[in-house]
Amino acid sequence: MNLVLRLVAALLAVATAHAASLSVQNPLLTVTGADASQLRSESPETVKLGPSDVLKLTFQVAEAEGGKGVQPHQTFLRFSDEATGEEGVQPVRVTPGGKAKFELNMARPPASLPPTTTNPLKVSLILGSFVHAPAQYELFDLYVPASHPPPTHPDEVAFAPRPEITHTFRPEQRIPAKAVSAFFGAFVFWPWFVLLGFWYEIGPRVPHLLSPHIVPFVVSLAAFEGLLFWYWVDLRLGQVLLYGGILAIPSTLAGKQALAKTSEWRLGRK
Amino acid sequence: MPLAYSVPTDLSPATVVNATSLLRIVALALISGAAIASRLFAVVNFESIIHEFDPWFNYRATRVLASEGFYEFWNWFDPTAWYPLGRVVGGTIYPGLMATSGVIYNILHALNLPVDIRNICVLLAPGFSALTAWSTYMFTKEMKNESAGLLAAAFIGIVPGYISRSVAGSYDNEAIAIFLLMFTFFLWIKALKTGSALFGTLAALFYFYMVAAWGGYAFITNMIPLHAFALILMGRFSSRLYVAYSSWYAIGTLASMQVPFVGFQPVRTSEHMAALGVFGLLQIIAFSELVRAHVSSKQFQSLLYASVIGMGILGALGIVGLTYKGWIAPWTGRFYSLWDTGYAKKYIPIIASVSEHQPTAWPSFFMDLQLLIFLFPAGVVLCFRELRDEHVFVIIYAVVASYFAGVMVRLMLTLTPCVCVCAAVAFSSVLDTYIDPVEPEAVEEDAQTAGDGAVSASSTAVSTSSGSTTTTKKGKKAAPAAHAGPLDGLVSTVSAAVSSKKGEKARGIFGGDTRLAVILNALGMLLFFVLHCTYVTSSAYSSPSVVLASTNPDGSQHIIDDFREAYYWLRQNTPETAVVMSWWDYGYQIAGMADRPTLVDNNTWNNTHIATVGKAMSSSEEVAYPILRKHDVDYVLVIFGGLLGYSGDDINKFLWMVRIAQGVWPDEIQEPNYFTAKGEYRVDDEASATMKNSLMYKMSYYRFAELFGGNQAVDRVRGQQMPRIGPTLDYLDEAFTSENWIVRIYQVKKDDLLGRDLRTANAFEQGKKRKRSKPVARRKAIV
Amino acid sequence: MPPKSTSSSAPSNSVQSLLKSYTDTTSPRLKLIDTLLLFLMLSGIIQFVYCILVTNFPFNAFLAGFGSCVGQFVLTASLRSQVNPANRAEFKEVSPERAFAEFALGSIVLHFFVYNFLG
Repeated sequence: MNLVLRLVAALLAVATAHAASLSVQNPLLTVTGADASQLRSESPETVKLGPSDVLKLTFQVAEAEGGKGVQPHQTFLRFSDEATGEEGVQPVRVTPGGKAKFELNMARPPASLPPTTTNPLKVSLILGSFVHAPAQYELFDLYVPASHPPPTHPDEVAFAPRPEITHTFRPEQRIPAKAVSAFFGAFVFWPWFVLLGFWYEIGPRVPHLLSPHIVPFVVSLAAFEGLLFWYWVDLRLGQVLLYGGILAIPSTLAGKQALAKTSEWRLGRK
Repeated sequence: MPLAYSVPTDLSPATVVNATSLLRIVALALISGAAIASRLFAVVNFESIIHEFDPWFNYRATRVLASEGFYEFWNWFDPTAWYPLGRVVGGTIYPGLMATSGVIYNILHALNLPVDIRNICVLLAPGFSALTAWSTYMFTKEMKNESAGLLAAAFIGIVPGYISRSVAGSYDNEAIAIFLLMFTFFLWIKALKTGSALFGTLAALFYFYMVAAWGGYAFITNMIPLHAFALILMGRFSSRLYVAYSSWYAIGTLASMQVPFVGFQPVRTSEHMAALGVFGLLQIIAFSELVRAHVSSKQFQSLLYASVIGMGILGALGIVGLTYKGWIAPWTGRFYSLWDTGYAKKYIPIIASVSEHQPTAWPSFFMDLQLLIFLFPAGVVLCFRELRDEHVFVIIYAVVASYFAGVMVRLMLTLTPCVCVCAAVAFSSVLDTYIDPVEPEAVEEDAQTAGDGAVSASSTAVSTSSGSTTTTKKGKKAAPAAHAGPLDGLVSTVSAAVSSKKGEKARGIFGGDTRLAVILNALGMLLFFVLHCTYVTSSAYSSPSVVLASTNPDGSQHIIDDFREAYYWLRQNTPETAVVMSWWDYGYQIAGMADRPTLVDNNTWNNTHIATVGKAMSSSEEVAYPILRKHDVDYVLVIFGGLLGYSGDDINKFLWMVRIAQGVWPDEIQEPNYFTAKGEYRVDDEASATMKNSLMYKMSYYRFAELFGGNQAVDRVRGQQMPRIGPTLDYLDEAFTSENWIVRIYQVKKDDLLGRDLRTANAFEQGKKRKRSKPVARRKAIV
Repeated sequence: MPPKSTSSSAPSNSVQSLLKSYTDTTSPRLKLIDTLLLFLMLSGIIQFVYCILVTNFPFNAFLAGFGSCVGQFVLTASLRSQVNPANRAEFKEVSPERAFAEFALGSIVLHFFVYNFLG
């Protein structure tokens, strides 16, 4: 498939090379001012038009060899502003003999004339034909009075890039001064002194704390607290639930035993 | 003592006890079996499939949990929902349901049982309904006795009001929440009765589970404080109440804050302040009780009471002040809509648009509860007769839940357990009275009639509906007597209770024929209840709504599977990043079944985004197109029931779209424009121009008339004749229409390659001659 | 324990009489618990004051700390009322030993949530 395409392209290239090319002959340019003053030129580089000047352009399209006039099936004048990218294309009528005439009246400009600034409009002639090679001629630079800037497309608002979204975040939380934190941190500890002081005064007696019935229960409770502390430091939820579940079994047994013993003591004392 | 019929006397008490407990276990097992089995209609009639809308999201989230693990699930950010915003799923859901099925899934796989996660999700609700039956049994046992408990378990097992939300495949939060609700209440009652911190802690743990599982946890958060407060006002404060409430609140509140979606709400929002207030009040009362134990001065006591009341008022004022200053968030809109049924329609149409948020229609009480609704008041009256602490709870529960069930259809669910408990208490009282073989001795006539009054009243309440009104009247008469007691003090209540017990001695039924008549009658009613429940469950509540069923002329079932057909089409034929726009009802299903990004879904957290979709649907193509393109929409999906007569389609929901859009863009969308001049909502020739130009209308009826081949096209839902020439679409292409036209999918056209606007391009395609017009000059000369 | 020792002819200052009656009639075990209660209350108050005066910045940490104090306080108070011989009639099903076991269980559950919340 690809090969076929390439082959066709190559054949076409050969064909165009063989085809006769077109040329523009007798270009004549006339600018008629508002005061009827005329300026004629064969091939000027730049043309300046006032707000009410009229530009007339005549030429003949002919074969490069032989000079026989031809009528190309497409003839356009293209006005393009290279700075802004605005452009307008105006078809030009050509007689069967190849003669063409174009008139640009600045008082009533054609719709194809693009909006302009002070930059020049490049005017080029584009010719297309079935039998001849296509041709494009840069004619001249045209200076026309500046117009209003081009109107914006109604959808442009919708599809234009939006200003970047800037997120507003909550203000960063104020962390109090270290000294204040430290002071309160120390302050939290003083109830401990109150507690220990009172306990010292009351003097609780724990006669059975170290008896073999009680120790396992106390140890398992301490283990639970240790496990939870470990959870805070390191463990994940699943692990702590697993370990806690395992630990719960011996603690329950130890607790049952310890509390049964205690209740025995209590009732015995009574 | 005379007996109405002979009872065997040669049984040892131990045998009787053993036999009854065995019978109870067997009965509970059978009830569980019945509860599970009656929920399997959906699987039997259709297939093992997830139902409705929300369950599809839960199912999708569970799949993520099962495959990715818990911590990944916790931090899951879903970029495909709420395109282009995305959704932080882990922080905006109640994860209890997914965690439950995740745990079950992992346990089963650890046991080498490779069960598909979908089947776990489908069968979770029936499984938990068995647990609900058990917890209702436990709860009712605390109210009356085991036999009432068994009745209550049987009721809740098959009552349609609960089945409606827990059939197999209805994988929603409510599936496990009702079990948790009942079990938490049971633990609370148990804690209150025994004064045990153990049960308080357990209640807190299950409360935590409930918080993690359902937004309705606020019901517990307010029910328990309300009960505690009522007990305090009745002068029934006790250390047991203190222990139960304090341990529940302290642990439960801290635990509830672990759920990310709840966060700091328990200390910040008004909904939770009642619990905090009662907690503070209890501390003050407990302290004053302690002080009173050490001081006997009468003056000091009065001083204490004054200070207690003063502190209570101060606390309440403090809470009000904090609310005013913005420290505590005021009530949310959803909460207001509970008190003012018109509130939601006015201010938050998105809440009002959900059908299950509508006020309940009265027939649905009878459909969902059948005979229980007659027994319910009788049960409440019986609670007044005993009026222990737990009966106060049931009474409060009954009043509150009845109100809520009247306000919102979906809250019928919270009423159902209470109705079952009360009805079981009433029913078992009847049976107890009439089965009891002991005949009263014929004593003096007046005492007999007086004693008989209440019992016969309650029995008539059971047999006829008119009887129930007489009971309530009598109950009301009895209630003030019981009510006045507690206000005076505890002593009078106790004495009243004792005296009423004495009176009971004389009660009883003579003869076997009355017994037989009443018992047969009661059994007959139970039989009809079972029939009704089975019928309602199989016909009304077992439709998955994803798959529809119709009956062929020959009576066989015809399955309409348009939804899945369309969603699988999307899955198979569109790129994975294709954004699908639809009304929010279908967001979860598209995400779950088609696995495509959606603009809005059933989470409804962003009203503006939903309103944007509403605006796109309700405005003309030219207006909608930029909205669609700006949101990268590739496909638009609409549900259309006009061909089949499926009434839950988008045209019927259309006015809500309009209303929601109007809430945000009142200048561009106006509801009256969608009605005809006569104020009718029509889709036929007479429809208003705005209606006919709206995207939703065009998408629904595009090429609809062609289907009838020149005959008059008829919309079978609205019953209206459609215009012969249907609407045309310029900016969208029909991409897919399902077999019965229920789901229609349109592709949003890209920009025209030649830079024309799509309307012109389309006109050109159809060979229409463009109206010749002078080209407009872009240049404007400066004059 | 019924307040027998407080008489109507006690000093006019009722607070003093209250304290006197308390020290006279309360068993050392209950006093032990009461000091723990006092300790928890003071710790809670200090944290609350810090929250009000300085900052509530890691709000979850504050809630965890304050919640642990309050929770432990009510659990201990529950224990106290359960083992208080004066309340024997109210708690028929809860022996002092069972009360302690419940206290231990409740505390472990509470501490689990506290650590979980601490951040």
